Amino acid sequence: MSSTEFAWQPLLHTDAPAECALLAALFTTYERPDESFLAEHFLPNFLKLGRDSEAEGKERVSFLVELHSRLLRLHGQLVVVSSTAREEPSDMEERDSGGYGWIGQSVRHLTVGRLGRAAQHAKLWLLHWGADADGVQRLEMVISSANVTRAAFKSQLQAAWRACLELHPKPSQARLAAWGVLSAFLRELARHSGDTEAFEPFIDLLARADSPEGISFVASVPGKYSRQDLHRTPWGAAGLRGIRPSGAGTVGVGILAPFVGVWNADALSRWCAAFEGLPERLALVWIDVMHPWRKNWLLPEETRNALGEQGASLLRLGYDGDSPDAACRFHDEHRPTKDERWSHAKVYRFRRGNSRRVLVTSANFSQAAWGKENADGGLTIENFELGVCVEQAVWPFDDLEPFERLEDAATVPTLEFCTPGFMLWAQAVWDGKMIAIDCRCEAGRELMGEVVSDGDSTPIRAWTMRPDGCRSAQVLWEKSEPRPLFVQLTCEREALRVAIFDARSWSDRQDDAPPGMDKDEFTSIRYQLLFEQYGGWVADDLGGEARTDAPEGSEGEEDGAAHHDSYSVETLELARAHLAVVDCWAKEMKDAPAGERTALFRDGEVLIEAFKWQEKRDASSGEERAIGARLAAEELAILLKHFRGA
Amino acid sequence: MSTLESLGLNAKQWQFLNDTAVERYVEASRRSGRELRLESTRRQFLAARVILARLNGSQSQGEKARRGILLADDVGLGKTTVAALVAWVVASAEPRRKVRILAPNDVVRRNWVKELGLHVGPLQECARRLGVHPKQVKDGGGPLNAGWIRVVNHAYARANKLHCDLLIVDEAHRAKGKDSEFSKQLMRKGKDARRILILTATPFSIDVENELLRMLRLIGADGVKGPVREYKKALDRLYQGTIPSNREGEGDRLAARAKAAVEALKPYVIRHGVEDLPSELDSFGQRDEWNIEVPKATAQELELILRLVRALTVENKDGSRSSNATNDARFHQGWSHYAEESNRANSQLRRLAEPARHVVGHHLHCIERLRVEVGIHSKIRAVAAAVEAKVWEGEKVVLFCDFHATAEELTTHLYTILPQLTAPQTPRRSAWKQAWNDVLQQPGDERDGPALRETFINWLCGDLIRAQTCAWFRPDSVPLTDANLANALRTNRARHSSAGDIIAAAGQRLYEALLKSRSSHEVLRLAEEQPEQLLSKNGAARVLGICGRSNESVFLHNRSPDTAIAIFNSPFGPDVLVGTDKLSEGIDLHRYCRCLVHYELDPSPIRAVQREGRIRRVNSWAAATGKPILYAYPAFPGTRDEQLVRIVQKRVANFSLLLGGVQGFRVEAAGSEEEEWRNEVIEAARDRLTRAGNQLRAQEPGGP
Repeated sequence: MSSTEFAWQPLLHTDAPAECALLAALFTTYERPDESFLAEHFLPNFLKLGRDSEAEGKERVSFLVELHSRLLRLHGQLVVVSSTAREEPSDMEERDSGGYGWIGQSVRHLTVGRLGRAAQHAKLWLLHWGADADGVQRLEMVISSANVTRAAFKSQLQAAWRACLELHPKPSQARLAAWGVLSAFLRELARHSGDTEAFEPFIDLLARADSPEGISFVASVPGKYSRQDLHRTPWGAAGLRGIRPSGAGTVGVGILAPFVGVWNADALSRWCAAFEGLPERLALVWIDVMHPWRKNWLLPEETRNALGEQGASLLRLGYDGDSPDAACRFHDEHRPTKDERWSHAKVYRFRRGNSRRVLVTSANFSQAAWGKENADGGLTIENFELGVCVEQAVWPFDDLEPFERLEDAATVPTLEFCTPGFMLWAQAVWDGKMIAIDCRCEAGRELMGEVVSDGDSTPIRAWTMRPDGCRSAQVLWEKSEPRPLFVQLTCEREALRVAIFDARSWSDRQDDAPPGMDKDEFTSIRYQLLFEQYGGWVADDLGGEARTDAPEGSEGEEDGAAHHDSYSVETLELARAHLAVVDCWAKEMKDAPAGERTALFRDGEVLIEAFKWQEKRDASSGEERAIGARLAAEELAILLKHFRGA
Repeated sequence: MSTLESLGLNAKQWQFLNDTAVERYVEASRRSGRELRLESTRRQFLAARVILARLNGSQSQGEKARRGILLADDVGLGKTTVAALVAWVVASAEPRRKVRILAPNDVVRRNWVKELGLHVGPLQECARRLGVHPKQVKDGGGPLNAGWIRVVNHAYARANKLHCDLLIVDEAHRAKGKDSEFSKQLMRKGKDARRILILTATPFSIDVENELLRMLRLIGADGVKGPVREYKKALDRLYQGTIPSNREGEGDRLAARAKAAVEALKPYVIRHGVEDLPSELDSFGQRDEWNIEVPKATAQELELILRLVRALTVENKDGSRSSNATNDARFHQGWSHYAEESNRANSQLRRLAEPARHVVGHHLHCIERLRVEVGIHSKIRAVAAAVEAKVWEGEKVVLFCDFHATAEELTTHLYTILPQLTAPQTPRRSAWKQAWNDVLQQPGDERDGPALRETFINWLCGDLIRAQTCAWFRPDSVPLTDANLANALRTNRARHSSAGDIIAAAGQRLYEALLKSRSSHEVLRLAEEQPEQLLSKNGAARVLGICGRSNESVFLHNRSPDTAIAIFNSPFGPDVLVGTDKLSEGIDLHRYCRCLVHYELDPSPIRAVQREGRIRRVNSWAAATGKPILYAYPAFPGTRDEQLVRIVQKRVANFSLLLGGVQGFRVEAAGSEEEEWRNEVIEAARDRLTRAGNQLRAQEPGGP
């Protein structure tokens, strides 16, 4: 969804210019992301990988190396925050990872729960894009209903709002303030995740971007808040006051959400009062009992009754078995018969007279999301939620008719909740010598764990109880091979796998291959991919034979002309291709803002090693063929020294 | 189209050009100092007859008058001879007409004057009614009266009118581009000439749209535009297009369009290809390849090239200098230009910003070390060794370079490996002077004649010529003495060959040639005080470089190369001549030389064709000796030079077949697959192209 109207488009894309490279990203999700989805579909889209994850053979290996290299480059800059760790059988863990357990060494995976029980339900993406051709960086923001799971993209329809904003070179407090509750929301998320450092860069990005005009944010943060608290920071339903349409009269609300919590008449009235509304002006878009989404859309009978009693409407999103495409579609292009996805969107439309606003959010229509009113008029909120409100947006459900009989609406007798887990929060970090494991586990429960590496495991022998109620353990791990991949924690019948974040220095990490991959093959492909990244030959085409033609599109000495079967001299062409890589790297370094140079310095160092490796490789078919790579390595060393000095 | 006014000539006035009169003319030419070859003269006479008939019109032969003719014979077939005959007829036959000849430069202009002069004797003998006189030929700018033939440079056209009855434009392809001054003036002022004869060997190598079609328009060729453009398009497809799958089809297209173009051009264009004149091959000499093996570039040599190319590229990117040619072919062919560029880069290092300064400085530092290790350039070393071997076999060798710097380097190295000849102590130098005094006649009665003659004899008595001459004497039962030296000069032939001139006659001929040339005359005069003006400081150098240097003993000491060319075209003097393409047009080097080395090649094959024409001419040394003409295309394997040579060589071979329609190229962009396909297309169309080309040969009206 853009600022003023709904549009039908894939969520997995970016509005940033093609030349921009991802510098950092924050993704929040309710469910813990499954690693195979993250590695094969989600991240490649933003990392702009050139290889196909579904390929086989060498292409597949190249994909893995490319992913690994790119993650190494963005080490610690990709942060995923999910809800409290959930109970999962161990075989499910293994299946989900798809062998990609190692990405957790570079991708920082945080969970809320550090301060106590909390659910992270917001779906926020913040993507920091590097400079475009004009040297402008961008912040791309997506607020949606989509979790970072395969199901969210494969089986569900989502609602999302997206903005790609140019960044100012320096942060400003005034700009940060203009984002409303969003910065406070991020700080709270950081506090509950136990890693404020990881969030600071993203708060800084907000301070460098102008908040788009006409939008405001509504957020929920778990906790118990007094009215004074909410006056200072209007979390949950308190935030709806700020987005109510102007004018006189009561505010009507339309709700599209697949999950409706338990509401009684009083709670409904209080929730509506937050935005100067009344239950009788509440219209919930809902499905009938025949609708194929009925397994996923949950409305307790109790709530249905309360809605009915309060005069609220249930708008029938029907399903006509004879012509479903006509009767049950969200959009002109939506074909329910061919599209089995169910709507996971959570959208609220507020209307007062001609003033209309739409809220795209993660918040279901539940008190866990919006808050349950306390006796003192404050709120108790269970979830992190985030929504963005857009003025004057259209509402595609105005034409729906109310159910003639409320009994025809699909309902469930009661809502089944997952049993709250014992292990509320955990993290594991390896500094090259020791693995530090922290876990918040229900008091009095026995906690066990083991460190799992490639084909091996080491038990955690002792836990220490800290004053803040968390338990800590340390495992000595000084060897670099095999690397520790994750900690398997168990508490009674619960199991939790925690990725071990690799906090070693870059120089210690940079030569690591993905587990199970031949080191030489990894090195070879990694170097070739790096050449490719800087305008060298496409690595897949290199094969075992050394190439002599210039890379496609590479700059010729004078006019750029180069033929794949050129008469031109092998040694010179080879050298030209290598030196073109140096030029490309130097140009990027020259053009890069100071903040984007770290990765380039690292690439420069690896490129020197890569050219030394290439020199040996080229020399195997003639001493003269190795000259180009040698010259390239020499020049890179000079350039690196220069840029470091600068 | 309005009918052209006749030139008022009568076919009887050129009866001496008839087939039956050829032998007599050839005989007469022998007596006048240049013996023409019968078969070639027969063809040249036919061409002259056809041109005269077409320019004048001939009622009896049903030939209407045409405003102009394009003579596009291959290099070396004697276009100058044909045009000179036409000029003499137009200027001398009653009513006497005005003829103006535009030559591209001083050397060629002087060559024209010489060529016209060489016909005076035979014409006086065979065409008495024309009443030709040497004074009809006027060298340089000035008035043009009836009966005169005035030879001027192209540059003359800039500031002067071109009114005349016949305008002959030599090397017309020099009128390159619609914006070139000469081209503009020619198109504007050429209309003042009643008739135009254009000479060029490369009609389809020039810019067809702006040059060939303009020339054809100038000579009044109608109806040629379409077919010429279509043929040009076919050539463009061949050389610039992408590869179609069907080479047969492409060959058909090429042949059909060539045929149509030839049909349209036939009334206005006369062209003979050297390969299509088997009866004359004996006059030109058979050609053969001279394979000079050059070792593959070493890693050090390639590193040197790479480092400089890179340093210049970085300089360019830094923006401190605008147009560095980073892929300069000279870097692959010698170290001289290389040294100039690296020295320049070194001197300008401080101007560069960082990090370019550090990078360039690093490469230059490495270059300095490597240059010492590498030494002589591999190609120069290998070519010089091959040339040396030929010289020891008694041959003269001419080497062409594209650039002065390479020519200098090559010359200098050749000089170091070809030891100066030491003349035997006997006969003594004084005896030689006496002997040459005895045999050398003083033509004319110029005031400074005796002094010039003495200067020339002094030169003949230098170490080099004495040593050379001694070596040519047959081993005789009679020992060589001071007394019989003059006799030996009168009885022995030069250059160890029965084909060579008698030594005394060769000396006489050279002396007269020098006297006839204004510039050589001046050189002889100056050489009285400064012997190095005549050629080489002590007269002993066996290598001569005509490439700009003036302060070394192996380089020409005066600006005009006429003297050097005359000497090289004699049996005497330097055995090796190194020059640039300034020598590739309009001069003769064929009389004692049959070995040519393309040391450096221009990417345009026209240059190579022009070069080869210098020694493949009628009455060549090859024809005289019965040995083949040797063309060497040495290539430096592993460098860009190798690629350049491979392509140019093939394109030169196809040059005549395509009516000169081969094109230059950028070696770094030339694809081997495309080049192979190109050659296959030409091969598929070869027979038809040959047949089409033959249609442009001179034919009598009503002939086949």
